[in-house]
Amino acid sequence: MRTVAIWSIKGGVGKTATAVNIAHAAALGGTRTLLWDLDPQGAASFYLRVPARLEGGARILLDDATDLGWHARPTEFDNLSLLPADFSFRRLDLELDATKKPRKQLARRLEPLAARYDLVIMDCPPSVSLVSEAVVRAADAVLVPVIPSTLSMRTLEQIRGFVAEHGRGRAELLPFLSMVDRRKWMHLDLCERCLADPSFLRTVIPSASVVERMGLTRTPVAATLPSQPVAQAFASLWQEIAAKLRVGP
Amino acid sequence: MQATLRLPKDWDVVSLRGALGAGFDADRPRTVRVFFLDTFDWRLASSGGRLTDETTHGARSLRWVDGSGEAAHLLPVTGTVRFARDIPESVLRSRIESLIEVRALLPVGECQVHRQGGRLRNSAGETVVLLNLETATILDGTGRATGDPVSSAEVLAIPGFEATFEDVIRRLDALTGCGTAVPNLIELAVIARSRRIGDYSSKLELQLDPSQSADTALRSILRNLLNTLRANVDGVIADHDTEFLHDFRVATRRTRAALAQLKGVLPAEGVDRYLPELRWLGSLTNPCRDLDVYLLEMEAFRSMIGDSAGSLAPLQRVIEKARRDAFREVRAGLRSARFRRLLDSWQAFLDDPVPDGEPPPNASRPVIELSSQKISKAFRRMRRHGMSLGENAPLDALHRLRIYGKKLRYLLEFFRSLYQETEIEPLVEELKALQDILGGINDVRVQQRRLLEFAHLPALAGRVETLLAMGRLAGALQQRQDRLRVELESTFSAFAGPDGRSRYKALFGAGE
Repeated sequence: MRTVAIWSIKGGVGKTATAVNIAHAAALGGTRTLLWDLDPQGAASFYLRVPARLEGGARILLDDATDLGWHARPTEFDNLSLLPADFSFRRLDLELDATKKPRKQLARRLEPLAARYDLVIMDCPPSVSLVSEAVVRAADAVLVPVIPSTLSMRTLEQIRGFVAEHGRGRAELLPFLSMVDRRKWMHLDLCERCLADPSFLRTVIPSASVVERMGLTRTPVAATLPSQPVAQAFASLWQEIAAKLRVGP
Repeated sequence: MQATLRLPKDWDVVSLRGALGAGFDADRPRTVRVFFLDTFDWRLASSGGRLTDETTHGARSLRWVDGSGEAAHLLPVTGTVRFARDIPESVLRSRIESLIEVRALLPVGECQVHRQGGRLRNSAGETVVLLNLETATILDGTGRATGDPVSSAEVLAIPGFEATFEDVIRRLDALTGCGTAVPNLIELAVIARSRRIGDYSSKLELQLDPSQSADTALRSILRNLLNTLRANVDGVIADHDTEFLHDFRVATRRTRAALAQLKGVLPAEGVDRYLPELRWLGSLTNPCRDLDVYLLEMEAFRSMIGDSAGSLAPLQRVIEKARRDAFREVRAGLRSARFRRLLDSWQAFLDDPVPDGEPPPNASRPVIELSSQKISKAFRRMRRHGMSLGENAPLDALHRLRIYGKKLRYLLEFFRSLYQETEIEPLVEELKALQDILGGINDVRVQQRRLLEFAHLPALAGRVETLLAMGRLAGALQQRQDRLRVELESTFSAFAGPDGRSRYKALFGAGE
């Protein structure tokens, strides 16, 4: 089982859309996928039509006697389950802090899932906190959406330092270009500069209205509009990640 | 949680929406060609799981449902899937591999399904129940439809909405009145191919009665073995996997052992006539089985000597070629008139209960008397021989010990139903462990001998890397044998020590 965290310090960079769409792409390819919605806003849960409620709340996430798999919900898509968010996750930091070795907690909670899933994708809240430290500690790869702007690129440098520190050399940092508007001259220029950095994934996710419409359709883009360029971009982004992490189905 | 309900023949989405409310909605139906896969000996079905090979719109997937009520795993595949290793690397593959080991997946049934996904959503747009709606037509072995189509709704509960799930079941039930008695598709599909789930097992499953005569008991043992033998012939000829031949050979050997060890039960002239023929079956199939074992071990050999460069590949090709030749002999033998005559006349002999003239001396003895005596004797013989062996016993002597062990094991297996299961099973298990070690020692002996023969083959002449790798392999095999010898000592002591001896005595008597 491989674990991918989608994380950024910034909000509104396309984290959840990426999480849902690459989870769907992985599942389509036969990878048994669990999307873990760690964001108290519960957007990933919303997109997949799963109520953003977890009985027991944040506390249950850290309860040794609970197998997280019990709380996974099947979705309308084959091979794709979702561990829903709960509004109480806003206090996850405090709950974590009250445990022994808080940074190791999420990694430990993931272990029993290995028999049932090939892949866990964690959709993380945009913040730098104890939760982020625990997420990075648990992840094989940290996927970071970068919007082409000078500020985003500064943020990426901060993230790089953070992942190096908390990922203990295990978590691979995988930045990729997100919500790119090819009509903007500055986007194109910054894209070029980002892609000169070999750590960037080669796939560029375009800004697309069908992604915005996911709030209405509440379904991954490829499920309804598979031939849309952005659907294909998410599929190829997933292919790149799968190849890097050697995730099989 | 999930449940399957039968739907009436004329169901449609509109009537379901009428019953379940406006929140119900279904995809457009797809036509799916479904093959049910299992091994010849039903390893998947007996695990409670179900594996299907499904094609829809040209896309093919394996679908695995493990029987625990969890959602199915769907894995896209291309190309032939016969062995576990043909499945793309995945949790699914390791699960299947652990169940089927070296057996082949065979299509055991087929159907054509009109399938549509359905779901019920609440007013917040959340999915509260998932449905899988199907109308299936069973196809026979030639692809022709048999029987009426079967319609069903599989309903999957979503945690947190259990009450809705119950409600959906109730509403569907009220609508259709068909209840949950859904005909099992795989069962029907298997029957349409003239088989039955669980109709074959390589285990000897017999229920003998202690008071029945030795003659009756032995005949039912032998008939059972003959059935096993017959059941495997087509699979050997088709060469689906190595286990058909293996099971075929085990049935042959058990038959020989039964005849040779239980003398004086069946008419002697019959025994004298069939033993040589059964021996012929053994020697006909020996080379092929040896090479099968070699090929099955190849992966292990490679890792034993850390051969990542593929130095053993030329050897593998040589063995594969030799195996093809050996297999041709086997196939010709099993297609021969001699083999057909053997099966027919052997069957007739077993079915003919009235021997002419004087009945054989042991024929009418109660079977339990004979079995206890024979088991006891076989145990003592094996024990005596084993005790006489020193630390560095020659391989021939260990081989003899193994043969004695085999005979004892066959007797225990033939007659296990005559004794208390709790008492005889541990003896069988203990002997099995001992036989595994002895078998391992013998395998090494055979493999080393073959390795030397292979090394002389012109096909490997000048292949220095391969020959060196084979040398390393011979060394590694020797180490394996040495380790097994150490293990043998303690395992044999447990078997033959005072404890083991008294257990045999208690169960089978002194056997004098």
